[in-house]
Amino acid sequence: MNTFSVNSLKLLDKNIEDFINKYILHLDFLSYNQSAKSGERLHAMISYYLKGFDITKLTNSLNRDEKEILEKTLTLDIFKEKEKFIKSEETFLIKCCKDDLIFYLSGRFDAIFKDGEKYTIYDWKSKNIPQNPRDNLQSIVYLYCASKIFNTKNIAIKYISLENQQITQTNFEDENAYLERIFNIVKKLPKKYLT
Amino acid sequence: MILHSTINSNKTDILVEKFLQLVQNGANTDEILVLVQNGRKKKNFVEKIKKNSPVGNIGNLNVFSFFGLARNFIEKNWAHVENSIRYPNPCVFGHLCGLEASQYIFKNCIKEIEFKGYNSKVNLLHQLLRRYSLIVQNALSDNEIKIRENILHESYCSEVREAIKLYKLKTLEHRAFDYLRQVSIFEYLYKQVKNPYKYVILDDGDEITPAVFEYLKHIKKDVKEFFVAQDPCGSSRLGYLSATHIDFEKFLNEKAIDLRENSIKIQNAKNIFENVKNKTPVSAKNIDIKGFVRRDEMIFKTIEQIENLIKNGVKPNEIAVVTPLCDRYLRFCFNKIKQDVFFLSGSEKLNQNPHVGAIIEILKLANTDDCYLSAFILKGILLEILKINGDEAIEISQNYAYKNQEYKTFVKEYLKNIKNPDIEDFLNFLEEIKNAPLSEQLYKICTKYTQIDIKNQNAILKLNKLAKQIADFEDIFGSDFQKTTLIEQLENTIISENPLSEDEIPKNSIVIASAQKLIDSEICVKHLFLLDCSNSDWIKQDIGMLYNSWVFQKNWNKNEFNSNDNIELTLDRTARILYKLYLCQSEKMYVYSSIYDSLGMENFGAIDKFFTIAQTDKVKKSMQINPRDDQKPVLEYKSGKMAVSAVAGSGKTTIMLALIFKLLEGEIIKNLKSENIFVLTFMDSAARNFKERIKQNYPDMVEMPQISTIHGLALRILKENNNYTFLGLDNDFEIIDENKRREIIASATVNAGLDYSKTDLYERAISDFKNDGENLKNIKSPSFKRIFTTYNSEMKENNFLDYDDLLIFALKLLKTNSDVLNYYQNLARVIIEDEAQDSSPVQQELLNLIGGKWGNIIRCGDVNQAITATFSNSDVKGFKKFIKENPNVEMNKSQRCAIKIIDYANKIIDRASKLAPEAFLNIKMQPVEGKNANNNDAITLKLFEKSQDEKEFIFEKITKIKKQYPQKTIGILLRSNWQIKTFCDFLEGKNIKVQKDNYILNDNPVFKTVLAVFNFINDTKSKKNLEKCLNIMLEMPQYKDEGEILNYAQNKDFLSQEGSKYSLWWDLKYFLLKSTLTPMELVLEIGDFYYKNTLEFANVSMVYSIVDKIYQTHKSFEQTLLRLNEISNRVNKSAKFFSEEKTQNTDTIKVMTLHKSKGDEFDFVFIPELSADNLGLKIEDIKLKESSDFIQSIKQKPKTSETLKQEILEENYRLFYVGITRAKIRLYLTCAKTFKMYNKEKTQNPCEIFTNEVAK
Repeated sequence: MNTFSVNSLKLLDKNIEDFINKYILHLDFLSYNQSAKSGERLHAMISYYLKGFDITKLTNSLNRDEKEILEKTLTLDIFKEKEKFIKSEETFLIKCCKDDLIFYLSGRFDAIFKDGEKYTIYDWKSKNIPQNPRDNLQSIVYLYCASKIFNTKNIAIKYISLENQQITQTNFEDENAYLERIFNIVKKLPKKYLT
Repeated sequence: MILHSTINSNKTDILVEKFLQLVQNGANTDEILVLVQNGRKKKNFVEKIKKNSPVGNIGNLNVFSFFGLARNFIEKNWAHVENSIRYPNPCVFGHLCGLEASQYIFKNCIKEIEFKGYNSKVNLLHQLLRRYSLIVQNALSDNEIKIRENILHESYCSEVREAIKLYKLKTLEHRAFDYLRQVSIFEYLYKQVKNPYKYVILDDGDEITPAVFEYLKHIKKDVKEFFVAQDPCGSSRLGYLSATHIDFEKFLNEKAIDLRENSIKIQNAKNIFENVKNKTPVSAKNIDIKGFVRRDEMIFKTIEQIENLIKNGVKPNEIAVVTPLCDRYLRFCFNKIKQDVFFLSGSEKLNQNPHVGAIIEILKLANTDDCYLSAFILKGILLEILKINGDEAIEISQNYAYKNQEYKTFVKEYLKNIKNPDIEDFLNFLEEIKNAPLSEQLYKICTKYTQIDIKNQNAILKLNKLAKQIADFEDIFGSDFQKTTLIEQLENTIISENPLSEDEIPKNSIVIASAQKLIDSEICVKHLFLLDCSNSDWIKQDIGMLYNSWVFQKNWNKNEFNSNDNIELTLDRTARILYKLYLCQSEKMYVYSSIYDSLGMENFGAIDKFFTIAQTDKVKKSMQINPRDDQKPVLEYKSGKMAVSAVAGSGKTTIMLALIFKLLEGEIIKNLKSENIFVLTFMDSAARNFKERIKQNYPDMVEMPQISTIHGLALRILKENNNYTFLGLDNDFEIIDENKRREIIASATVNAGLDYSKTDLYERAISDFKNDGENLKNIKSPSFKRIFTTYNSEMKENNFLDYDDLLIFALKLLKTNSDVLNYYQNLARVIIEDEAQDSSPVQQELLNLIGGKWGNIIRCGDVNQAITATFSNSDVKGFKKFIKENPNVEMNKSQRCAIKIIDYANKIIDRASKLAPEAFLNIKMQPVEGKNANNNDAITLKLFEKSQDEKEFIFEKITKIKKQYPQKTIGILLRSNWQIKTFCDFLEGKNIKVQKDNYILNDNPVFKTVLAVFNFINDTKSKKNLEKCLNIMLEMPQYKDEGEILNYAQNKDFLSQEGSKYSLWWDLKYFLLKSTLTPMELVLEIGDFYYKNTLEFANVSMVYSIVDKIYQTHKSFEQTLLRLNEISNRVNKSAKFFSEEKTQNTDTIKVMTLHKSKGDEFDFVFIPELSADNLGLKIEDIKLKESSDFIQSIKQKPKTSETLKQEILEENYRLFYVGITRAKIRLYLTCAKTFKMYNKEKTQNPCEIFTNEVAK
């Protein structure tokens, strides 16, 4: 085990035993969650749209609520500025090193837009968006990783609630503080599990 | 860049370096495609990139397995796929599911298309899937498929085409694509979508499939550079797994760099590759070759060897074991090693884990109200899930069994009346969840009842797999499937069928794998053990009725396919596999094989043939024999045909063995190999005896001559090189065991409106009819026609062959297929037939056919001992003719019998010449000078008034003999099986130990013990059952002082604590609580507990296999037990138990039929109950059975009653002759004038020998 996602870091931060059970021993039951599935569907539709696929037929597979949400979402300004769109559903893998500890961060950006020199990572949330994005672990991991990928500090992350189109955002601040925060969580994992 | 490399040449490291260089030089990771053979290698490749990358952004890695490439492509471009599908009802995601969901669809397609005359329904799906897999992986176009259909003259091609077409449409409709279907979608998709890759790195270029290669061809024009690692001798996945050998030098128009080091190891590996292809054995210093008699010996020796290695500092992960037979028996044995063992092969069903099994049952309970449950499973739920205490769980489940037996009771109804808070809660819980989707139900059950801890890891991993499958189904079908049907399908899913489930290999374990898995995972160790090397599963060939792995290859370019193609191609693949395996070890490779498999059936030989011990190590002959003058000509044999007619006790077996040794040592025919010697025996025991004695003489001999019964040979002919396909047989055909055959005939008989008791008659009639070859149309008896037709269709339906089919089919194959015939004719340079007088016409025809090329046929026997003609298909006339037409060695001296007995036997021949002139050849037995006993009292003829007197006389004599000559052996020979039981009961009543023939299952102590424990587990309440079980258990020495437990069991509740003073009580209770295991695992537990010596443990493995076989069809503990009880007292040929070397036990008396006694000898022989009815020795005494007219009526040339009577008379003489010539010192011939039947005194006529003066 050497690679962490935002979710796994969150769990490791919260409870080491649960983390080991889930991510190392795989002692966990596939969860049963209908609303998560709906969220995934909407994510995918937005991504297809951004990639330029014709989604007319696919839209028929959504239920009424989902259709409504998708319609509303696609009216947001950002979707009108297609020229700024770079990538969607982009996976990343970042190698980190601190105090002789080597580990990796992985994840997937829902969408990336570039306006002038500024990169913005978009993250669609099915329901609630983080109230304090600056302090949010996802912001920290994503901003840190994006800064490595695009080699710039001119980055922001924007959370958009698909349910009510609310938006919050935060800008890149301190690389060292980010790494420190992530490192402090990774450090919690007993060394024998780090390969 | 092309690298010619092996798994030892760090090729992956070089490719990773190339990857990093590309990135360093400015390539975007999005532009680099890395292809490896499987998921495990993908992980390995990614980890290496991660490790060697600088800190910071590594990028988006496109490292895929061959299948993963397709999956990823579809995921990325799903919207495009969906827009191309003509069906409405779109899906946001394609269902990239496991095989289970698509099999479900395929199954429904098959129902819509009629496959007329296809007999193996179970297998149809499997065959279609294999065919589909070949079509997809080889990227075959419709036209290419048609060409192949023509080459193979396929009769089902249009049905198959239709089924696959329907399947493809339905998967589109459901958007359900398993890994194969994904590949076919991919083939369409990549032509539509812009290629993103500029660089391609291909590890495992030798294992690439045509489908993937077609893709590379397609994108070649856009690719700046290819990096390919390929092992020119690799491609171990040729055939069904569809690897193809690509000439990358030609494809890329550049020279390969050879990275293969020039070491002895590589040289040896290449030698293996070449030699196997040329069918010449290899020897290498670091290959240890050993052959064992039994499989368990081989396994235990391996374990011992591994333990020694570890003692000497070898680490567990430096050892691996490869076998194609990773069954539970092997697992059980290896789990006894104190080291961690990881099994990388072997199929396992979900419900094999008791916890998972119980959860699946709960799912069923939640979804059905009117459900009965087996008490065994209920106990599992109570113990495993509800954690109810053992005693209470047993009590509740057994009470349910009783209740359910009396009046069918639904289990939920029953449980409602039990006052237990846990059960009440459980029932409420079931109510709560019953309307939820299955996936939610499973989630809730697991959350409530499965503890998340490491002890449960195995169960949890499996439950997750189950959950994933259910989620797949729900995604695809919504609620459009029956929950219970789905559960049933899923519980039988074999986990390893899915290529996606690749568990991580623990670091410190000994790995046990199949050859392919070891190679695929590139596991390199110091010590590599190859086991079961003589088992044909090593070279299993991938040809089925509806698929042909060779012709369905993309590069197949011949106009026909014959058996030699199959042999050559299989050999080629085997060469590649063995080459790669050899490279997987760095110090030593152990090639171990056994003559018999775990059912005691012989292995036909497989890869053991390719390895040989260096000549100098061979052991020279050790057995010296001084033949008598009459024996000498046998050993002077040079070539051609020879008859050996040997009288009883003339040392025939010894001299034949000496002849085999001489042949083996190359003293008679030059360059003769073991495999060129074919020995045919009449009984399995004789074949086994020959093999064991050869093994004793040459302990290091790995490849044995072909020694078997004619049925064994026929089976080899059908199975070897997949010859059965030429007869249109499916590869899952099974030899029906006698019990099952009887079951089918019995039910057909009863269904035809006849009495059950006629079963015997129809068993015989069916066999006779088949061998006779008469046309069914010509048979007059309507009931026979009906019964035969039912029998035939049942056999076809289940893909069974009976013993008659074996011979008939093998003969048919040899007659109709010259390739197969040539193969055996070339091989069989010398044929030796034992007991030639009992040889059937089919056997003789088969023997003449395969001996046709070299003509070296030696037939040994004694026409005067032909005793099976009247009830089997044997034909003594054939051997008589052979004697007349060929040089005949007469071995007429015998040192067995006392001189007086010899005289008597010769007089019987004289007497017969008047009454039954055809009975004997005039070969008279002669004593060997100074060797035979010369006592005057050798023969006693005694007639009694009453049968009881006769028995008492025998008892008295036995007591006397045992007192006077405790070392002497005694045999009682009787005419029929039923007499044996009465006699044994009588003697046992007098405290005389008797030994019946070890033929019925219950005579085997291991079987008997397992059955007793099973019966106990099934019902601890019935006093009768308890008494029976306890009596059996008490026979074991460790319980000999606990006889009182019987009393206790009769008067008290057996499970009450009062029983705790008996160790038997504790042991049985232990098994009772263990009984949530599957019956097979229980067998191993019981076996392990009671049987320590290896021979007994070999029999444990056999009982295990018997139970396994039954459980496969009956699927519940109770049904399996029922069947086990049914067969326990019947003759069973399908398992051949091992017994101690036949040193005669003087402690017990052998009681057997005259027929069985052939081949045996005793110091004292009793032949009682010699009435005229039992053994008529004059024509007036012969009575034909009522059924004989009927039997004759189904034959082409029926015999008249007179002829039949005469034949029986002749055989009775020979039977009597066989009986008397068993006696070495004294012979007692007795009869009584009256006997008791149903309490009535009846009179009977003694047989001729008591009345005729000459005989007297």
